[in-house]
Amino acid sequence: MFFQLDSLCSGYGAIPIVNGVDLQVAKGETCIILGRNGVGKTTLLKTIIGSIPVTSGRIVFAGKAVERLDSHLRARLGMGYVPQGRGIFPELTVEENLRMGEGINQANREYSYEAVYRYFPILKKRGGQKGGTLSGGEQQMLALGRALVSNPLILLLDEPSEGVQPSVVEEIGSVLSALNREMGLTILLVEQNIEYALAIAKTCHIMTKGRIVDCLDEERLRDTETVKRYLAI
Amino acid sequence: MSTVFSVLYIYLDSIAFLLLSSLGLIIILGMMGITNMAHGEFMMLGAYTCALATHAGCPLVLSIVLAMVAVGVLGMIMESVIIRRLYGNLLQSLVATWGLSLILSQGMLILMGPSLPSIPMPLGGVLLGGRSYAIYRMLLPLIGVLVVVGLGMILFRTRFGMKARATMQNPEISRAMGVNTKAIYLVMFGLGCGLTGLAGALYAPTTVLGPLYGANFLAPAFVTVVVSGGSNVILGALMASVILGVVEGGFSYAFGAVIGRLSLLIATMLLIRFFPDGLSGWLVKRGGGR
Repeated sequence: MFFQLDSLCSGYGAIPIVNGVDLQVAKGETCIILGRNGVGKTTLLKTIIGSIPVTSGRIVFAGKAVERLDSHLRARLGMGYVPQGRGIFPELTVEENLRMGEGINQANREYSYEAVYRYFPILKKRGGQKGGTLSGGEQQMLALGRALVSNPLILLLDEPSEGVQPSVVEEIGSVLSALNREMGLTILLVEQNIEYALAIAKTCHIMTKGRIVDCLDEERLRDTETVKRYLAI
Repeated sequence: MSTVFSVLYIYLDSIAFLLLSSLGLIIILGMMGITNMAHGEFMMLGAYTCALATHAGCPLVLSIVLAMVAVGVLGMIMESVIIRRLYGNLLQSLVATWGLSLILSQGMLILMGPSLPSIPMPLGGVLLGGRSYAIYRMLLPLIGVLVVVGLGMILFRTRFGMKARATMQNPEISRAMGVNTKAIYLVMFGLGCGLTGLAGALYAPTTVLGPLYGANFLAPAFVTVVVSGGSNVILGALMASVILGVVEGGFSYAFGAVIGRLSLLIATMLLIRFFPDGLSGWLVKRGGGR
């Protein structure tokens, strides 16, 4: 399997947050994990990229067990991470923010600035501006562009729809679909917005209390009762 | 004419003193957030390395470079042994580096005694209006500006500098961009210490050398960095040292060194009151400078 989590556990100190996640993502797949606030979605992504240490379990990526590798080494192997809250560098210019993405996927030698600027022309226009001066939506585009510049093998996205105006949400959604369709980019996205998730993928994994408990297709996701059970507050 | 020159000389001397003594601290406190109380002792080590090398027959320029490298390497060792554990913890870094400063100064007292034979000031002087001005001291402002501009080139024009600035802003995300932040911290602290050693060595020929050599530099260095602020350490340090240097130089010319030092501290308090983010923070907010 291209990307695989085996009984992955992690947390902050003694408190377990991610509690035995099993997941398989095939190359070229768009995998969505739905879950409401506080079920461990962000912690799961942070564990995958290596900001939080694994307590037990395995992360297999491109044929390697990476759960003991430092975060920067996982990035160099090709994990492109778009964190919650966007995590752009506020005092770096937009262009410098994008250039920081060159550190992802070290095997890659050709950078996709043209594609990034084609998807998000605003980033070229704002090139010399400080990252912190961008609007929320522009920052989201920047964070995504930064993760794409060096052609990652897998794109990890943490709630890209959060705190962004609907038109930008749609724009980012269509870019993600295009990337997946045209370039075969593998995507792992965590979300709590069902509509947004369904716009990108046909099936969604459901996460509750630190575990992935179900995999729903579109029909069942449209079914109010099922969704209420898993996602209602 | 000679009065103008002598006032200018005093101003430039003050500015150079502030700029050079704050050199390494610009990085270590301004960018990395470590309240390095051992800053003065690193300067002392630079001066001692320079003096010992010169007494051993090394040309002064080479001794100064040697001091920079030696203190830089020592700084990297200190980073990996002590400082690494202190990032983001103001009080711990304060106490730990204060302890380090005591160990270094007292250790040097035991090792080398209360004083070291000083090194003669090179280049001689010029006579103007009956007063003599040391050429070496006139070179120091120039060296200070050159080093700061060089540092600015490293920070703002190189790939390493970009990664370093990114790391100081958000280490977690920098790692997710493939940056080995441990190495960045190590090199940046080493660079800061190297510049501190350089400053210590540059001032070695101008004064007596003892284990407490650095004490004189500590307060001016700290106020310069604090007044500068962390938003753009290069522009900030230049502005802060010029403003504070003009104040201190003017007052010490008119009323003597004690009043001069006092005016420096009062000017600092006023500047912090009106520019709480430092001069560079104010500059960045106004949309100027990078």
